[in-house]
Formats: sequence, C-alpha cells, structure tokens
Amino acid sequence: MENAAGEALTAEEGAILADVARRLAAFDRERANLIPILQTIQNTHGYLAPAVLQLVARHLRLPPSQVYGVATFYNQFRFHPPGRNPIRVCMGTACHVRGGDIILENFERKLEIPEGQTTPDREFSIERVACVGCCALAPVACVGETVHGHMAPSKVEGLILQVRIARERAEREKKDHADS
Amino acid sequence: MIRIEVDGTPLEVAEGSNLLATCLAAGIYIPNLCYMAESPEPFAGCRLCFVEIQGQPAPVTACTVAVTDGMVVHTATAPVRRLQQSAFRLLVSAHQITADCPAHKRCALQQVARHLQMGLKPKPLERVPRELEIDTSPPCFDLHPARCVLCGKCLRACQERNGSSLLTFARRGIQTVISAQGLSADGQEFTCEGCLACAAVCPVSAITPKADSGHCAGEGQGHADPQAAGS
Ligand code: SF4
Ligand code: FES
Ligand code: FES
Repeated sequence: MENAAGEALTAEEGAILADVARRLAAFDRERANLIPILQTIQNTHGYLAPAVLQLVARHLRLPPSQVYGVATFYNQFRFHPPGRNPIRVCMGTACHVRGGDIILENFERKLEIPEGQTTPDREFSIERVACVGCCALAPVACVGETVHGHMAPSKVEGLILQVRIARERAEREKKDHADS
Repeated sequence: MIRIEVDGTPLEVAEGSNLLATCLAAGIYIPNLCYMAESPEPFAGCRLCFVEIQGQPAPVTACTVAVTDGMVVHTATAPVRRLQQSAFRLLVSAHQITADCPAHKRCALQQVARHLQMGLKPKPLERVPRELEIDTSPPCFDLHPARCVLCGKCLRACQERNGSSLLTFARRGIQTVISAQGLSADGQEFTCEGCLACAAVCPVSAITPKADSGHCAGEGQGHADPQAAGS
C-alpha cells in the first residue's frame, strides 16, 4: 500500500489505516456521519493522516477535497501526529492581552515548526488553545500536563531544554540499567 | 418586459432578471468578482457589486437583487463607493502581486481598481500578501493560492459541470485557501475530468492550465453522484 504522497506506508501508518477501515464499517455511508467519523479517528489515533482522509472519503462517497475542507475548518482536528510533549500555548483573552502570541511565536521559532505541527523527532508539537482556566497566571503555556504561568519569551528555551535533558537522562539510565 | 432606470438610463428587461447581469449586459459596469450566471444561488462573497436602489435605506449587492418594475438604481453614489473601496482594499492587502502574473492587464482586480480609481496597493492598509506555495499536484492545472481572491467561482464551475467539486476551500477565516487536496486522475469515483472549467472562470489566474494540458480534453461524464451511488 502507498500513502497519499505515493510513499510506501510505515508500519505505524499501516496499522492506523487497518484500524480506521475496521471502524468505518460501523458507520452508514451518510455524509452526516463525516464529523463523527473524523472525531472517532482523531480520538483513537490523535490525528488525521492524509491517507485516512482518503479512506473516509471513499467510504462516504464524497470527493476527498470535501472531506479535507471540513476537517481543516475545525480547530479540533490535527493533521500531524501529536508529540510526546504537546505544547499548548494559551490564546484566551487574558493570555492574549499579556502577549500570548509572542510566547507562541517563540515556541515556533525555537522548535522550528509552525503551530499545528510536530517536530521530526516527535518530541514536541505546538497547539494554540483557548483559556486554560488560570488567567491570573497569564500568559500561560502547558508542556504535557504541566502548566507554566507567567510565561516569558526568555523561559521558552529553558522549558524545551528541560524536556530534552529529562529524556536524555531517562535514556542513559535505561542504558546503564541494561548494561549492568 | 418591465422598465428600470440605472444611472439615469432607462432599460427594458425581463421581470425577475438579475440586476447585476442586467447592468453588465447593458454595458453599465459594476465591479464584481464572484457573480456567476450559471450558479443557482448568488455567492455574494466579494462585496464589490454594491448599488443604491431608490427606496432602500442602504446599498445592496446587485448580484442578489431581482429587478422589479420601476426600479431606480444608482451605481456610483458616495456610500456605494465607500463600501466598494473598503472591500477592494481588504482584498488586495492580502493579494500577491508579481510582475510575471499571467493575468496582468486582463485581471479582474485591475479592472476593478481602474473603475474605482484606486491603485493595486492602496493605503492605509498594510500589505500582508500570503505566502502560500504553488500546488503543482493536480493533473491538468497548477494552483496559485497566493493569487486567489476566494471568489468560489472555480468550485461552483466544477460543481455545475461535474456534479460535485474537486476543489474546495480549506481552513478558515484569514487562513482560508483554495485547495485541490486529494484530486486525482486515476479513474476513481472522483477523478479530475480535465475540463479546465475552473481555470477558465478564475478572474485572477490563480488556476493556470499546465503547459502540456493538451490531453486534458475534458470530455468526461462528470463525477459519480454521491447520492445516487447509494450504499
Ligand atoms: S482559484 Fe480563482 S476562481 Fe477559484 S476561488 Fe480563487 S480566485 Fe476564485
Ligand atoms: S486566558 Fe489563558 S488561562 Fe485564561
Ligand atoms: S458579485 Fe456581488 S458580491 Fe461578488
């Protein structure tokens, strides 16, 4: 099998496609099912790959472009696999006023990916979210499950480094463990 | 036939005709980008075709009006021009303008600019041309989203001719782009017919036929009807 770009499928993509095909069978071929289908796939796999959208279009007998158009209209759908440490930058009113966009831009620049995408090593992905619920700490960014308040551009690099260092340490420990 | 008056000129027209089409046919130009006679519903997205109709409190888009007997229309009042100029400013503030654009000299935007006596880079808006890559993946044409004015004509042309559109608007708000995602030429249910109706109708050359598009004869049967396809 090939993916939408004509490249051979990775094992991971193949597994996703097989699972999606199985799930699709449970849905009638009605266009009203488009969004529930996309939500189910996103909930199970975390994102919608191009080959998956093709499969959905096929199932519903819709032009692939229309499936793509609907999927890209909604912020809730992602088109890249989420990173191990998803970064959510708050763009709620309070955070916006306190310069949330500058924080977002800093993450984008430091990780060299635009919002909505994932770093090639799958370590980080960036998302913008609306109010996280701690406006008093604005501007706010979450790295994984941890909320970081009073964000400043100067803190961005530190946060990324922390994650990378923690990961390296974990890997080293695992290796030491295996060696001993 | 009924009588209407546009800018002092009396016209005889069939009752219920579209006001914008009527004026254009009579040689009275009203700026417009998104009107398509073949389309069942006016899109009314470009917000350029404003006119004032006597008895109505505010300017209206001519493409959404059916003429009625005795209608008196003004196409160039100050309120009309104000609306048109704002819409045009917004449009070109995000429009890519390059010296090698194939639409140069016959672009609908240039025609609108001349009519409104505005430049293509009008003040005071900042210019934020969108940096969007040319999509060369479609079989018969290339897509230049940075030129697109989002008039939707290509979608409707494909829809009218082939039963469903292979082009789409993707994303949302200021991010909206024209997209040919998943468009294929490989004999699936939804295959590009190569009719190039989209390229023909695009007012700004955002869809350009491929140099070797000779084989795109466009004699297809239209796309599968998703409804008739059943389950
Ligand atoms: S590609 Fe051309 S016809 Fe299609 S929406 Fe853009 S400007 Fe209009
Ligand atoms: S606006 Fe950011 S936490 Fe409420
Ligand atoms: S032609 Fe009427 S709004 Fe575009």
